[in-house]
Amino acid sequence: MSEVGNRREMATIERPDSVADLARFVAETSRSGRPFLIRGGGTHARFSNDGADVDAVVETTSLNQVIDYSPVDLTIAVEPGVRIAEIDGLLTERSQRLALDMPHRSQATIGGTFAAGLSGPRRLRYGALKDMVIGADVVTSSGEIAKSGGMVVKNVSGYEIARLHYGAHGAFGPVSRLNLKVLPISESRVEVRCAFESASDSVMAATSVLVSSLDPAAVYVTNSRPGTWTLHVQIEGNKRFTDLQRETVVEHVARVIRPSGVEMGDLEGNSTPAFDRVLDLVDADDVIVARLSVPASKQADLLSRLTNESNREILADTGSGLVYVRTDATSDGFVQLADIGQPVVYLALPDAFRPGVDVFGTMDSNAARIVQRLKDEYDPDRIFNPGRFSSFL
Amino acid sequence: MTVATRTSERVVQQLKEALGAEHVVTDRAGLGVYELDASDEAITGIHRPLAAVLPGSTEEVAEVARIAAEHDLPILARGSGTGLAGGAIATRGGIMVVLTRMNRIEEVSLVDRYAVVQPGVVNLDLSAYLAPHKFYYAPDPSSQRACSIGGNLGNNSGGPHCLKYGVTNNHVLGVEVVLPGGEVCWFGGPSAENPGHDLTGLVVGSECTLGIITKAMVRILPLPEEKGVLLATFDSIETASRAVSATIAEGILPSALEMMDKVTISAIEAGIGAGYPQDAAAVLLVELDGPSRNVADERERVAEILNEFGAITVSVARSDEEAERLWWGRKAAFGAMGRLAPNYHLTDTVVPRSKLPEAMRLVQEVARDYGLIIANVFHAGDGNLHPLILFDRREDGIMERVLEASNVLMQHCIDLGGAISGEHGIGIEKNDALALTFNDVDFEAMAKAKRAFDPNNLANPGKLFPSSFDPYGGARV
Repeated sequence: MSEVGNRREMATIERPDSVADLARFVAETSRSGRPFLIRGGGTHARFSNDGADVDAVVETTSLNQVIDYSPVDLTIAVEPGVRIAEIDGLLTERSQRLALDMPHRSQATIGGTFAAGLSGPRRLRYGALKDMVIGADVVTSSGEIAKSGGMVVKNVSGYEIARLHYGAHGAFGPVSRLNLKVLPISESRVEVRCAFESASDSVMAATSVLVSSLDPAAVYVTNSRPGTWTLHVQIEGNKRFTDLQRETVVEHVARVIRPSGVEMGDLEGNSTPAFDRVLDLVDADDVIVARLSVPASKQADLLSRLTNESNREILADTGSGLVYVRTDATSDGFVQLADIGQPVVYLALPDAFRPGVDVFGTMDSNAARIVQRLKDEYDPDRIFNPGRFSSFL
Repeated sequence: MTVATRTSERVVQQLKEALGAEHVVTDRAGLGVYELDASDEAITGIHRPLAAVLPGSTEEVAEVARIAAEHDLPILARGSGTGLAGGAIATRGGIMVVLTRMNRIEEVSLVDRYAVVQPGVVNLDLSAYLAPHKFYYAPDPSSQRACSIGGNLGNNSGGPHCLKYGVTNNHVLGVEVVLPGGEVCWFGGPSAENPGHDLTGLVVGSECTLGIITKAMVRILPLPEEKGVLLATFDSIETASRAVSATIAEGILPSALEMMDKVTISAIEAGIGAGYPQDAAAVLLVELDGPSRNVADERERVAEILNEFGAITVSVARSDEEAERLWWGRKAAFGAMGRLAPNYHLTDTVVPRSKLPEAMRLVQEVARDYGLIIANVFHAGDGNLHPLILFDRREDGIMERVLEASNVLMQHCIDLGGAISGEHGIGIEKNDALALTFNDVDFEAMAKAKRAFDPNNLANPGKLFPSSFDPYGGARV
């Protein structure tokens, strides 16, 4: 896919084929003070501020080794350039999985996904990617490899440095190894879909599931077509359980508010199709993809203010307090989001709308000061992805 | 009067003006309570702060931090003082900020699944508060009747339910932090992701070395519809460990998997007589939770697996009372140790679960080599060992032998791919041992965060980093 803007055409492409190579490159670059861009599979390249010019683009895709996989311990250690689909394949052979919703799995790298800090609706049950990370190695600005955490699922051993790098878009340097905890595959994944005529009905139904003991894996609402809102409830477990539990979910929802229609379907593999569609940042030339942080209790109000038009897809991850909006890149669409009265994070934003916008939104000024000081410590020469993350970095 | 005394008097005066004299403790008798925590004083020592203060609000904590910064004095937070690693001991004097008065549950949203609590809220009190609403707070360290949520966040505490539910860090959505200079900032929020950079996960587990947590927004969960409990006995730890692995391989994720070894079983039998068979070398407790029909299915399946994998006996609880009875021996285990020896030293190492049998063999080897009795009660699901080295403090030279054995145990667990602490923290009990796992490059990567939050080394100085590494001396650009 193309880069955002054309300025990087002059940049050289580096593809280190070992972590040692990457570390060597960082050490040399650091001495010369030449900034570079870190990039995985490119599926989240749009989710970024434009940033300053760089001399090199470092692609991690050749850092693609699975370092250690211990099925008995439910742990796996991988280099950052390993594609998610490859991890899926390896784990599936042992009836295990990384319970992470993410589109373009055969292109997206685990390191890039971690740096982008994205996770789908099943984080309700299984946590986000950051919760699955039990250890990480990072390359420091002087080109050394620093370890943190380990390969055990419970570990208090100093700061969780991985948490600094999660969602930081490489601003504190490249991650060179991720240790992850994995889970057994569920025998069955089922999605119950209940249709409603209004956003508020669907959100009310969603919240009633969230306060129940139904133990869903994911609870979210989509605008399937104009005038229809659909509540999705995912259930996972053995087949006998999901067969019975999906009926229980339907009965529970109907007691709260009767849906105009109910569908049920099995989910294949390890993804959530509706999330994959909204979060597709690869085929996103002329769309705006935005994420708003809105707790479940405030989602009905927000959704009622976002007009349900055919050119706008909405996925309200009620269980995680996030609302994703994918809308045509028109001025009306942009203005409506910008004026919604909520801080917006833009996962994709065409050039025309970028001037003056920090795609990561704003942060508390004291917190921003700390982030700035962290940047000063971890990247004193400003060589890591300058300006791409929160624009003040 | 010396300059130091004059400064101390000035500090105390300022603290009293800020908090009211009744919330500033400086007398010898009053400070006695704050000289120790639940760590072993033979290891961590007795240290008296200049003053212990009991603020009632974030603003007061911030004011204390400003006073400390003005006089270049260390500050450290203390919750209930149940920490086992000396994290809440004023090893360098300074001002101890005791957060027990800040014990309000400020806000609960069931629909949004969060609670906002002050740091002094006792862990179990939050779940008790939520129980009528059929909600609870999942992290449950064994000391949950006494320990505070602020302390749990500081140590990233665990508990028996980590295999399924994760550690404290997986349950924190946001924190309010008073930085060492007195600035207040918020990280995170009620949504799973928020604009800007979220440093909540870095602050959790930092043992007050980055700042003082004055408010926590934690995730709360609906109570599971049902719990199922099974207890099985085995003729060896190896057989029991294989049964644990087989259960998990089946796709079943129990909410707790607790194991006890022969020494522990004999202590329990001598103490309370839980009725474990004489030939049992391992007792395994399995707890399942979730929707009723799932728990019922899984309970039967787990019973089959345990039998298939060589259990001597398998008991399945059919009622809450029966479940309680099966847990009884496990809960009495630590207390029963008194039957075998007057003192014990508790270690907290972790190994990958597949290495449990090997780790247990090494524990027995260390016991033999050092002429010590070591009992084992552990979280088998996540590989978190709790070898209890039993001894009598009155014996000459015993402490050195116990600590040496404990160090050898830690090294063995690291060699097996594990870690020195699963849930108790580093503090000053294990900070030097941390150098068994990490080198100076690793520590320097952590030190950068320390310096960014705390440029003048005022927040709980001397903790967490080993004495061989100075987080302010090794700065490399």
